Amino acid sequence: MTNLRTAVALAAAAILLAGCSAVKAYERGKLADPLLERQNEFEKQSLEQKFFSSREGSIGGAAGIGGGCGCAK
Amino acid sequence: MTRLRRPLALALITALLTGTAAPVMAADGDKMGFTTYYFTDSGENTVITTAFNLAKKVMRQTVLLLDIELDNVTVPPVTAVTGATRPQRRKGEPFEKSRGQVIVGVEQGFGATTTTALSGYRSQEVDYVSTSVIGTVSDEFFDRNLTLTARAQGNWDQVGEIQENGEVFNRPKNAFTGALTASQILSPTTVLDLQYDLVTLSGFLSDPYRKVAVVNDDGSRSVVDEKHPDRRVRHAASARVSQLIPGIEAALIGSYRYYFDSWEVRSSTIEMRLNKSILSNIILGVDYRWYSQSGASFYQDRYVGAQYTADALRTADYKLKPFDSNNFGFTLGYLFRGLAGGNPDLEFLQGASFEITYFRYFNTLDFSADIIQGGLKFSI
Amino acid sequence: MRTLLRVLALAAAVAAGAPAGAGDRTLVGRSAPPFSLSTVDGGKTLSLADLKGQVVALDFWASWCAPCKRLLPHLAGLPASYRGLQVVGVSVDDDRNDAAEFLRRNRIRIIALHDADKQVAERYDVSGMPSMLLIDRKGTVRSVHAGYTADDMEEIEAQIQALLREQS
Repeated sequence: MTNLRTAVALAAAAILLAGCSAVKAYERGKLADPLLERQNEFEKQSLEQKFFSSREGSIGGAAGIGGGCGCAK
Repeated sequence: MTRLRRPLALALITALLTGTAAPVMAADGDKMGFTTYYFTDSGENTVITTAFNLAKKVMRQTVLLLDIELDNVTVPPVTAVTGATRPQRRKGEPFEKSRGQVIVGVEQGFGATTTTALSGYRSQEVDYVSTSVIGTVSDEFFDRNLTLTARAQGNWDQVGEIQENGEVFNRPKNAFTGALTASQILSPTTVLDLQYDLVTLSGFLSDPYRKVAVVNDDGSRSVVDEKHPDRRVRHAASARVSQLIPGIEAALIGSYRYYFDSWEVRSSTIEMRLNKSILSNIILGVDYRWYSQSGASFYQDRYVGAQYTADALRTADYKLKPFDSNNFGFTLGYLFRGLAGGNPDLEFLQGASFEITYFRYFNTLDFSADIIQGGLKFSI
Repeated sequence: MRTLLRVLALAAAVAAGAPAGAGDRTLVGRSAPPFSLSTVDGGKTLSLADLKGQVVALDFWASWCAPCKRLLPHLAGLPASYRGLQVVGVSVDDDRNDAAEFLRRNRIRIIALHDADKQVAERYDVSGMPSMLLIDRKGTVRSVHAGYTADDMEEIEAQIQALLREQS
């Protein structure tokens, strides 16, 4: 449990530090590359997740999508 | 192949629907998508999924969401290690099951960076009904480099058991989920995603069809219903780094998930994926996943004693055993944007792709599977 | 558990205090920063000074930005209805061919410039994509539109009409 707390604290610190050197909206072209799977092949991922979660005892996962192209709305 | 007829027809109808609805619906900023996936494993379990989704702008910052999904699951006659619940009495025949899912929601934007959404979800199959309400709030910070999302979800499920006479006996299972996601752009080519999930479940948390073999005090054997606790609290914390390597037209995606719950199951999952661009519109993906879990506190290889025919907790669920698993995957994807040519009417192909994946899964419980998954994704 | 909550609360507080990016809104009322860029096809060079006397719609866009690609055709159609309006598209694509491809495929005929090293985008403090600035006949930035939704066109056209009515 202590390890988890430390990990989360480090992660929060990483976020705060990274935020200080922001990547500008016009510098985000490369993040739109399909190689990064940011568009999140939602259906494919959830099928794979269903396979694993029906054969293993865990849930959850890094399914977060966000950041990305910096396009406004 | 006969089994494929109905889901294939459904896929075709959905594709036609999308195609005809598109010119009518597609105003500036509307989005519509259609996906179909075929999945099979070496146990001959097959799943065919067809999904249709629509996002229609109705006011300046208000979008209506609709998502429909149809799954067709087929499980072969031989009792295989599978996640699809099936009535024991049907052991001799292949078991086919359909599941329908609808999500209706509304997304409302506030200001330049805040989005909220509220959806209702309903999933129905012959012996399982799931109803849930999902709310999300999302906001962007630090020049839109950080996106934070909070999600709260309530599930009210009915776990059904098909009886001998064909009727379904239902037991309730409720869950509450909270999830926090943070996506942080670390560089023009790097993104970090962090997520924390919390699920609390209560109600009937076993499988109505599974039975446990118990050795009695006198040496004789009994077969009794599985008995799990009626409450479970599950946590998962995960991190994923996506790194683009422009020099070699590739991307490396690595993730780690730590899971633990109140039944004392703990697990670690490590996944690494390499995507490489070939010939500008083809993507080759290579994936490796390692998983290791401990058993639940009440898991035992053999249940010996009178208490197990009475109230003591007992399980026949292999998902509550300690084991490791390895998974190797290969994916080939084709992006249809290459076909758009010079025709502005074909601009919608920018978002279309076809993909085929093979993965080999094996675990220390002597289970292995070769999985083939193929899909067509199409959105405007 | 408490430490975890405290860390999360701190992160949230800092995040909440951080501005989403005041960006190029601060240019409104100021002289448009000068620039000189080559066209997307590499043929010519254009400076902002060349356009003085006209009303300029300066649009920062990229082929990887979906809302940018929706705004551009609408902007490109405006000069046909409004004489004295110049639409200038500045692409921040890493590869000018990506921009050229999109313009050619969609038959968009505007002054298309390429900001290869993204210096002009930085000078204009572009904070959202697309970023469309309306510059009056005297070279002053009069409005900035960060982001694009279909409803924005009405307001943009009204502002252009007002600027065209002004004398040099």
